[in-house]
Amino acid sequence: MTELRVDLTAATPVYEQIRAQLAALVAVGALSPGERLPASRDLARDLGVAVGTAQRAYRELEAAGVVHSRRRTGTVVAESAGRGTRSRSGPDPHADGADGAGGPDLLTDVRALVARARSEGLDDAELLLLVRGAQAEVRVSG
Amino acid sequence: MHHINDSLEDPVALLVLLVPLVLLAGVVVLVVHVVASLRGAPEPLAPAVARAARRHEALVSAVATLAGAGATVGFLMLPSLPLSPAGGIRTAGYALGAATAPYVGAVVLCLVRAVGERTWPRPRGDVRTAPLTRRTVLSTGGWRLVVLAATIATGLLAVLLYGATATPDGQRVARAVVAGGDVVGWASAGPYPGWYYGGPIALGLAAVAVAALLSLRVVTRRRPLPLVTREHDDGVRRLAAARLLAGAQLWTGAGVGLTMLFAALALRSTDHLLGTALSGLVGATALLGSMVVAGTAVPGPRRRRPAVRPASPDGVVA
Repeated sequence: MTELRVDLTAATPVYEQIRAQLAALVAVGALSPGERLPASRDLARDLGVAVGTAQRAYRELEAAGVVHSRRRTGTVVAESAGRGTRSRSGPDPHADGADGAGGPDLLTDVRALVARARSEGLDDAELLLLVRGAQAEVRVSG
Repeated sequence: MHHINDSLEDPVALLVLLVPLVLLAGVVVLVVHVVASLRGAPEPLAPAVARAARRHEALVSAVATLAGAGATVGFLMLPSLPLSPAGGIRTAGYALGAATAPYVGAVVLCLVRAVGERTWPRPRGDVRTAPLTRRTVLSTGGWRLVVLAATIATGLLAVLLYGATATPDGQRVARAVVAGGDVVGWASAGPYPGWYYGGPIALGLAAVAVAALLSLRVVTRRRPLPLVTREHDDGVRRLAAARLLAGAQLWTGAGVGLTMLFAALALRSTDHLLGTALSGLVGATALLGSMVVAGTAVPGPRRRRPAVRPASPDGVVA
């Protein structure tokens, strides 16, 4: 069972923390297409934040095509959400140990990176700084 | 019409005797429950905050059970008040009170439980967590909710059947006395849960259903407990739902069971053998089965487990 964690003192707004975590969980496949999310009212109550905060996070996820909301079923992960990431990650039950798309197992590498950063004492913010720095370098050199 | 077993006092006295017996069983269950809970968590390795949460849950359960028992006794005693009319009306009041008191107790238990659920601490601190699962009343209630619904449905069906077979006054059941192929008279017996008793009983059953669902909804939608792991929070939530439904089941099953056993007595007096057997069997099953279901929500004796075995957060005897 996955859970959300928000820090009320962080510089990032709470709705953005919720949005980013949900989008990340969908990207790595922890939330599957068709999976129902808690109602925004329930999520807000559990986190002790305003209902509008959770609703805004859900609205932004819906606009990005990560989830969709229906009156009867509530908010569910969209069928197309995270497809690009999952096609390059995770064990493929039909492949004999090979990567799903034939290329490097990106998610496995990312997990190894996170594990290594934590073992070396880096916190999440420092790791994100490194990743963003690397992204900037690649953009410049590319 | 010839009345068999015309005296209301004997059956009512029996009912008034049986209801406290059922209540006594409930109080015994409560005492075992409270003692077992207050002696500590089922898992001695649980963190102090989880043990405190279980103690709080046990306190809410104990208060709700005592409030339900008190409401039942109080409702039974209403006709004894000095302002109550004397004579036959008071006797009928005792019978009607005895028929509906268990449902009053169940409703009070559910409502007190719901109020108690509001006494948990609100989320505090700068870092908050929330599980990404949808909790529903059905998933929280589990099989106990199904059993309670079946008991209520059985009670309502029985009320319909008794209402259809009772005499016009709704308090007795009759049978034609036939001699030489001709009906020479009618024999009747009571008290019998026709519409006179059945209407209030049906209202009581409906009230129990609404109160149990409302209270279970409060349990389901309670905020996660601060400083407690998700597993322990789920365990406390399941325990609260189990004890809520067990209490409602005990009271409702007692009411439905005793009503059907009384109907069986009246049916036996008028030689309705099939009705007697069915009513007696279903009534006894509802009464005794509800006690068993209530007993499953009582924590069992603490078992010594190997230290490496993972802790079960539930603490409810399966």
